[in-house]
Amino acid sequence: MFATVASAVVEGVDGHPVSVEVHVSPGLPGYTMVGLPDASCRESRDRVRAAILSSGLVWPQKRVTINLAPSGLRKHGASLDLPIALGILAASEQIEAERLESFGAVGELGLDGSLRPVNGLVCLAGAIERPRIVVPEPGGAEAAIGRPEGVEVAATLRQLVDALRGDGPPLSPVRPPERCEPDDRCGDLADVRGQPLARWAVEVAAAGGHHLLLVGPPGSGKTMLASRLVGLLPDLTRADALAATRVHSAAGVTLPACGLVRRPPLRAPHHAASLVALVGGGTANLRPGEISCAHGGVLFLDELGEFSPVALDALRQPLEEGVVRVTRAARAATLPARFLLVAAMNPCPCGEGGTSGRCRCTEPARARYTRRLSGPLLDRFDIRLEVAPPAPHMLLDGPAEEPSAVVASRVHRVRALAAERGVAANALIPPGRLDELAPLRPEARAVLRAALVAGQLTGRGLARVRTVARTLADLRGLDDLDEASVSAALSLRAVPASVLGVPR
Amino acid sequence: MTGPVATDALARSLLASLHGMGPARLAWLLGGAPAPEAFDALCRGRIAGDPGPAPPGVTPALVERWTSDARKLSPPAAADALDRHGVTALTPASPGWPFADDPDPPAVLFARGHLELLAPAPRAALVGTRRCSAVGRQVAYQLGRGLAEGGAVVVSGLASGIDGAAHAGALAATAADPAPTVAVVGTGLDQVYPAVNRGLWAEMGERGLLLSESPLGTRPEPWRFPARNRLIAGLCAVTVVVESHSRGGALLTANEAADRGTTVMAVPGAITSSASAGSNQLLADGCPPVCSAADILHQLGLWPPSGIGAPEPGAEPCVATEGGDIGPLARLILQEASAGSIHVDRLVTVTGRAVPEVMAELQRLQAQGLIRLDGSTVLCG
Repeated sequence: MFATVASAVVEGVDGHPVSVEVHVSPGLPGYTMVGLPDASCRESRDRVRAAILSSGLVWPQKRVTINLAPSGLRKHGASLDLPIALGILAASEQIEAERLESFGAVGELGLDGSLRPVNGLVCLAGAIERPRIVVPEPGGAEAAIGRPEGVEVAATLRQLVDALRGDGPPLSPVRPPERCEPDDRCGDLADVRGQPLARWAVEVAAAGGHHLLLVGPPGSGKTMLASRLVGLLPDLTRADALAATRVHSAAGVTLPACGLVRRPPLRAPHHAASLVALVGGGTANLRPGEISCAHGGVLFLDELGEFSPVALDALRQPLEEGVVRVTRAARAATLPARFLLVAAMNPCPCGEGGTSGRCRCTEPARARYTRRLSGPLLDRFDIRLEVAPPAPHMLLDGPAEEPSAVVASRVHRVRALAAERGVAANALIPPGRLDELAPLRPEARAVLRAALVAGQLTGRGLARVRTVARTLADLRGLDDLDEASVSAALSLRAVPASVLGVPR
Repeated sequence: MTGPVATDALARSLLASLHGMGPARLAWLLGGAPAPEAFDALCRGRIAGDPGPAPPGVTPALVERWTSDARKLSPPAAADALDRHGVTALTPASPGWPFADDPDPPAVLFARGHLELLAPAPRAALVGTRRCSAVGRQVAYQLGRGLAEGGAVVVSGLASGIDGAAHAGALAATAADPAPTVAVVGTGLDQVYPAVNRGLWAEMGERGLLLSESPLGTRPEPWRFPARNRLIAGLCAVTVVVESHSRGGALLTANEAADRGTTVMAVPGAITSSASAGSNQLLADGCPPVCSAADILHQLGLWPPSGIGAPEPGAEPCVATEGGDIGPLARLILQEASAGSIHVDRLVTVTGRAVPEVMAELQRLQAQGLIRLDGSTVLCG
């Protein structure tokens, strides 16, 4: 007897349809699975067998052959447990095979017959080529994001089988989740006191989407600033939210209660993160990396100087293109990776370097520390800031600072202006459109010319400074870039000598 | 040999370029004879003049190698190379030769830059370890700058660490050329070493003076650096050790200075800092301490300056903050920055202005050369 069940597997952030074919024939009892299952997929045999028996159904004492088509695609994980079980039940005539023709299924089975959600339901749901799909109950909302119509949930294998046989109530369809209030766990910018420059730089970075480098001794508030920055960003657009949700779903990141990732995510990988963890990939399955999980939001790299140079340089292409292309011998995937990069580092290994005069590091130690940062990577940061610890009296007695909500309203206005120009943020204005979108007043042109002549600016630097100046002018409500905007943008780009390790 | 050697300087350059040729061997080879003659003699397998006993390590085999190498040398090509790199070869006969009274003078000196810096002038050496602390680097920079502003010439070795910072300070003291600073290096003048100082090296060659005893093409070799230290000591009336570990090249320079009877001074450092162990030992041995550029200028006879009430070098305000076409905000900023360095956060708090306004003004002041922005720290001048 033969049955086919439609399902899917996820690779990168894309679901690929898989058809599970089950053949049950007389002969010595046996179980064969073909079609490139990996170890976790092969283990499904024991789960499926126990789940079928626990559900009061019969495991056929016959020869069972399972083919996962297309056979060239490697299958991994437990998401095919449920379709395999359904296939076996249909092929052994415990449910009618015709019933399964309009159905797709995906899910992991427990030994007791319960259904468990799997990673990547958003991507999987959209990939199954059937009018209706059944997914485990806890993952219903997630699957409904990838597929607004025709998602049904079941809690146990028995419940599903009863519904298919007509013995029990039909399965309930799931609607896409209603909009819910996002839970904002990032702190308020009002907490940052006595650091006006840093506050302003965070505002500019958020408004224009400019990559930000914070250099400062321990305890100067670098991490605090980075977490506040996310709170200033506007909600994700529908397209970005969907892309971010797909990535999070595929990577197994917990989705918010409402299912859709509406708020810009903040990802802060530890500096021991490997290259693959950062950019994505992996041998068993192609998993999105941290930079893809930060899509639409902020990637915060604390202790930038401690990351492996290889991992850091791998960021250069995604920073430029907004996507990361992961290529392996057998397969390739393009994953979204447009993020705002915020990096923090100490000026030297002991952390007291810079101008405080308390540094205990030797010159070679400092040189080794800064050598990890390649010039091209440093060049990607439009705003480079030396963060100084706030003056003690400002912490306790300083005036109350503007809260995030006020700053965010200015940020949203600048983002709206950028959207009118046809870009997501000013930082993404292509160099070819700068003359049209960021026109320079004559005196501003003179400032830039002087900086170029003095060797303070490279060609790329010039374009970057103009985008930052565009943001500054937007914040001040100007159409053209004036001298003050350009001058301030140049100041924001000044590299702390301690970072480049130059003698002066 | 493919042509006659016309000048003394060129002959000395050629001899200096032979394998393993150091100052002592070169002096022996010359043996008091004119250099062209000595070169000629070597090419014919003889030693000119009255050579005396050979220095250690000079074997007949080595002399033979020198002879065969010397025959292959092309004097016009060597002269061309010197021209191409803008390098002048100086000899004891050159005007302004600074090593006339030196017990261990070089036989030839290669120079690039402003030769007038070799004229008699108050010169001070600022030397120290490459493995310096951040404080040491800062002190070297400030002393270099203070000395240059006080009218002294800063001499050092253009190594990484203290040496480089001292040169950088002296170069920053003035926009005019020549900047009063001389670097005595241990490699050929076309061989930048260490690479991290490439920019500084070029600027020294253009605005200051680069000196070396080694001919063009000489790669860094460990034995050449102690030898160049004696030249640093020999050029200066005062040698200041800014930071030195308990063993190190800077202490060798101090010994050379002591042998020549010139003053050795040291900058006191924390007793917990291993980078100051050597310099503190010098203080314990009785060297006068250096607590400001004025201490060194005093030794050189440049302090107190003739003008009454003149400000201490390195500590005066960046610029005259009065008059001119400077706005009120700029004036405030310059006043605040005159103490040396100040973070932008503090400027914003003190001036009470908005951050963008202050940042824009800082960029203008930097463009005018009145301040420097190092990251978010404002430095004076």
